[in-house]
Amino acid sequence: MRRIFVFNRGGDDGRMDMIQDERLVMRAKRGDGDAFGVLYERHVHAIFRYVMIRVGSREDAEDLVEKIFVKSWRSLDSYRARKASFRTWLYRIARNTIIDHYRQRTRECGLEEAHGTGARGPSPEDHVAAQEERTDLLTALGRLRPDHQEVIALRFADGLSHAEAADMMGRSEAAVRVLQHRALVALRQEMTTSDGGNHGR
Amino acid sequence: MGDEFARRLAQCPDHMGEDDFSLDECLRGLADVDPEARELTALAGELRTMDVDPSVEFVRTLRRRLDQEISASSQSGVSFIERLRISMVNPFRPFLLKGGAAMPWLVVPVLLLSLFGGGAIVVNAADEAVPGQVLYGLDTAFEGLRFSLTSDEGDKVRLSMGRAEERLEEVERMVASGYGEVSVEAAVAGYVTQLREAVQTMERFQLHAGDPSGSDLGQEFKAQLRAQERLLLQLQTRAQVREIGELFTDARARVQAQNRLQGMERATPRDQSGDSPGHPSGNERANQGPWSEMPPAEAGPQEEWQAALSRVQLRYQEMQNLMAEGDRLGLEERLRLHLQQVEALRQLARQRSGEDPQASAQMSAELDQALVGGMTAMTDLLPNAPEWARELLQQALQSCQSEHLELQALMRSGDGTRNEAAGQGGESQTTEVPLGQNAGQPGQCGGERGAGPGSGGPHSDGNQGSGGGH
Repeated sequence: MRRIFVFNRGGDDGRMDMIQDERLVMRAKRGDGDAFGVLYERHVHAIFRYVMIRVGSREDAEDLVEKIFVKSWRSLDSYRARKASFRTWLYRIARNTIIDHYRQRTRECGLEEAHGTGARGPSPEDHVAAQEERTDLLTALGRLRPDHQEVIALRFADGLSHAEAADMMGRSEAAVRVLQHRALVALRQEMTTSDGGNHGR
Repeated sequence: MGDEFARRLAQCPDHMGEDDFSLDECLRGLADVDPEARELTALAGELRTMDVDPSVEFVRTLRRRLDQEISASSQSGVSFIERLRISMVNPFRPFLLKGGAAMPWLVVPVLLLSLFGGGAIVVNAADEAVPGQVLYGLDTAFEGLRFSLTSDEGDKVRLSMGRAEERLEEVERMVASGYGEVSVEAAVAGYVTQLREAVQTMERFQLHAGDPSGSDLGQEFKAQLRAQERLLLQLQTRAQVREIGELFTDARARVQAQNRLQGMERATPRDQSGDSPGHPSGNERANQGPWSEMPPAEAGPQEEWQAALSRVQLRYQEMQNLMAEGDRLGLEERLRLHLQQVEALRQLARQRSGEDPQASAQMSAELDQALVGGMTAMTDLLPNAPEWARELLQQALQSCQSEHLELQALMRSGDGTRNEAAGQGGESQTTEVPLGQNAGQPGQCGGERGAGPGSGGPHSDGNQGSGGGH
């Protein structure tokens, strides 16, 4: 009879990751740039996917992800493991950076409209290229409400659990489940509207 | 229907992600719930596989950009001291004054060396050095100077804990490189010394700052301890040579004791001296400092056994605190370690059975009392435990029950000697502890729940001095 106390594997891996992150953060806080580099490698893909779903454009996503990691390095001293895991903290920075990005864009659009100077934006060719790059799905995602985008990005881009997504969004797990359902329904609706009901690719 | 659908749909992608079943299987399961399900689940699957990954080129470019940023922020750091902390080398540790301050005439060339960048290469090389290598002295000397130049007590705690971590990483590198037992033992001793310094620094900080054990620094400290304990466990299991693996046992025990004491110190205001007679209460123990639970270096086998038994104690108060804080990780760690310690000690008792069955039975009895105490504490906690903790406690109880049966078998193998040697311990040797019920022996688990005289904990007077002389 085996007596060793065994917990489920997935959970253990998650905890190991978290502890690994904490060790790296400690080292990075002491000025160890390599440790931060490892943290970057561990999280850059997930953060990029999250941002990409939220903004829909690869170019914007690249700019924002750069900002997110530079910001996280500069404010690493303010990170407290007790309050949130490093991953959660990073997502919060990402979320705020995206909000800032939209705010800034709204301001710029407002100014351009006010001054009648739209010429400094992307050229029509750039615009077409960017649109082609986007898949139908991304375009439809871009038309969703921010909280619907958010839940889809968290749940499907990085495979966060309901509990983690709930923590990130400041909602209960049940609320996240319901929101996820509504977001999927809304997304399907968007895709149906955009291509006459045939979204299969 | 809608709720059920939402629930099933929410679970579907999770299972798919864990490869429990395929998208098709998931769709089949949902089809009878809601016809809409197929479409939405397919959409969820599509979202999972959507190509939104960064390009390799982008990841590399950003890494380079970050390296520049990090390098710039280290070199144009805010203060002189900060710069010193990050990039300086001090090869003159032997010349440091006793109080830790460097002699001015030595500081100047060191500063010049580091400020003009000459030290950077050496620093990097020294960082990777292990005990016995030429540059190792530079590494530790630099750390020492950095520590002595730091005035903030909190920073001192972080630095000293960081140094302990460095020592442990050196041990890790040595084990990976196949160093011999003597070298690894010396490196482990270096780690333990550094850990002791970190604990003392933390104690000084706590003394000045009141009760910061629940503060961010306290939490960071605990997290570090946990991480180090994990690494020690990995090293223990990874070591190719048994003797080297055993080197980590004591270090792990020390780290475990620290973890426990960090929890206890928070519990002390409510901890109303439930310890067994003749032994320090939680408050007294906390006042004696975390190293007071450790057997002295010259401790004999009896003291070591008693100290090992005390490490097995699973305290009600400690678990309650972890649950109250929602510290699932902490509780899991504690329960897992408890079981590992029990198993290790049971094996020790079993090994002893060949040469001295009576001593083996006595050891088993004492260990079983500690185990039953832990089970009692867990069953007491179960009714009011949050759901996440209940599951953990039940799993642990099942494992404890198995250990309990093993120990009983071991005691029985001591035959007639069992009653004589282990009889002082009360009913625990023969008591079946029902899962999920109060086994009704509060206080056996470290005495924190008000153990009275004769409650039979391993520390109780009744068992003192009867450990079998192993």
